[in-house]
Amino acid sequence: MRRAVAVALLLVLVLSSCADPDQKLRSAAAQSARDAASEVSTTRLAVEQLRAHRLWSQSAGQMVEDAQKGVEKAASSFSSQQPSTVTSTRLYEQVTKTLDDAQTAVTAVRIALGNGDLAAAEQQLTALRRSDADLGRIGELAK
Amino acid sequence: MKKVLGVTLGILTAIGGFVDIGDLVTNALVGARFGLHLAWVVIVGVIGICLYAEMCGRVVAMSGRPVFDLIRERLGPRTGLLTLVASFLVTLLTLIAEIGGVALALELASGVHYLLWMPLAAFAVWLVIWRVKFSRLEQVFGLLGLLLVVFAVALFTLGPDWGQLLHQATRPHPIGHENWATYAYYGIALFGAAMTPYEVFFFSSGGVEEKWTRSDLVTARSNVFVGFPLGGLLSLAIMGGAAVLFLPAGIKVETLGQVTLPVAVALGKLGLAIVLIGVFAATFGAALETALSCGYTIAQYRGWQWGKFVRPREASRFHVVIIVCLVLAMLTLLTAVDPVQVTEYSVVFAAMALPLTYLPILIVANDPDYVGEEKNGPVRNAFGLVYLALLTVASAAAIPLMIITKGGQ
Repeated sequence: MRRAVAVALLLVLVLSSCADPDQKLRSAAAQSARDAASEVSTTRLAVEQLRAHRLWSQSAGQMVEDAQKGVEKAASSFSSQQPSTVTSTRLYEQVTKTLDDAQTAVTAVRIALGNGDLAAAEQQLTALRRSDADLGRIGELAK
Repeated sequence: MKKVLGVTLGILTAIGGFVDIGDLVTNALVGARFGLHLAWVVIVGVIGICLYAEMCGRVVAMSGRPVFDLIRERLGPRTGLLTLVASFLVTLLTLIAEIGGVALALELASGVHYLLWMPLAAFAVWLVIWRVKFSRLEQVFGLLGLLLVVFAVALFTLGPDWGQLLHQATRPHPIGHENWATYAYYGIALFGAAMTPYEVFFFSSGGVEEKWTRSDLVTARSNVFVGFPLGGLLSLAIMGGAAVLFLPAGIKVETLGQVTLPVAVALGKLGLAIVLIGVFAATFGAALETALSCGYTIAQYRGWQWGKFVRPREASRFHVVIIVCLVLAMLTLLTAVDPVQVTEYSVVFAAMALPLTYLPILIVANDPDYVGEEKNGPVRNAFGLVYLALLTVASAAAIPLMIITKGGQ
């Protein structure tokens, strides 16, 4: 019985260490993209509601500040990945760029709202939508 | 007429007091990730808390003594200590989450960082416990908590596809990128949020504070069987709002601001103002209840004088425990730990402690020495045992699922 358990454990360990590196990176990319997309959508929603006079500026600013921290967390979590093949290096670069774009757009909204410049925040809506769509595609790379 | 008013007030207080930071965060988080596919857990949890809170109310009304006092007497100091440690630690963790929730609500309303609000929130909790009468504090914050009905109004205003929501609620399975492990993990979190141990200890100690007798059984039962289910409906409204607004947008709820967003989208600034007052009242009320519960459990186990029905000088050790717990909560939050994450963990740890809290209650509610003729009948015992089995499964699965899902990620 003990031997069977030991063999099973060893098998799990071996299989997990032999996981396809491309697949591992795809999973990490999808997870980070979904996390970042959630923050980008929150930012977009906050700006849209502010424009529709349904939200106070300090509440919207607070939500966007939290969203910025969330995007930064998602980007930093993905940046610690180690691509080891040509395919995964390409994916790594593409995902990093998309996460950077998302971070830039959310940060721009945070700065605009901090300065009380709703027009500048609204200008970022297109970038936020594009970012959301790009992240959504990456989010579908893995379950 | 006075009796009817008293019962109505009790029910309203129970509805408003049912929702705390754990319910707010967990229901919104689950609604955003799973829609209403986990709504059944809220219903199961509400039935469970009704079942056991009624037992507590009956024990207090018949014996005039709080449940924790009887647990130690009936099961001995060792078993009592185990229950004490488990319940106390979970209640302290919940207190930390509630104080954090109060500070976050104030941050959302003012824009001032929550860490600056937090010492003030902890001090205000102590001051209210020290100065305000028990019945007054219970009623004021319970009734203000009723403002959370705005979540239900918001859900209707958002104009959801009710057929779709019903479809979700009747299909208990994970969706999209979620798997069965995260589904089960959040199911346990919802269960823990609905059946938090402090609720029964506060309910039973509150019964002693208000000097319940056999004639108050009707009031106690109406609070439980009407107030708690209506409070459960509020939880479902929070989940529904998140399901309608966040699920299609792929937004995960990670902040208290996001919890209130469906109300702002549906009802605008006025709705936001109402929901923020409601969140403040719900978390502040729950902070009072958890702080008092920390004092109740330890003082009742040790046999110290306790409660607000005596002057603070006469129950000095009870008040010292409360002050120490509030200081501990404040120091923990000052480490800049995320209060929302503390909340998420507190409901899962609550689920782990559930059997240790509820088994002794079932035993005491069956002892004719304490409850006389009002001891549990076969139907109540059958339900009690089924729930105990559920609580044990949830408790055993909580930690493995937390590890497998990396805390529900």
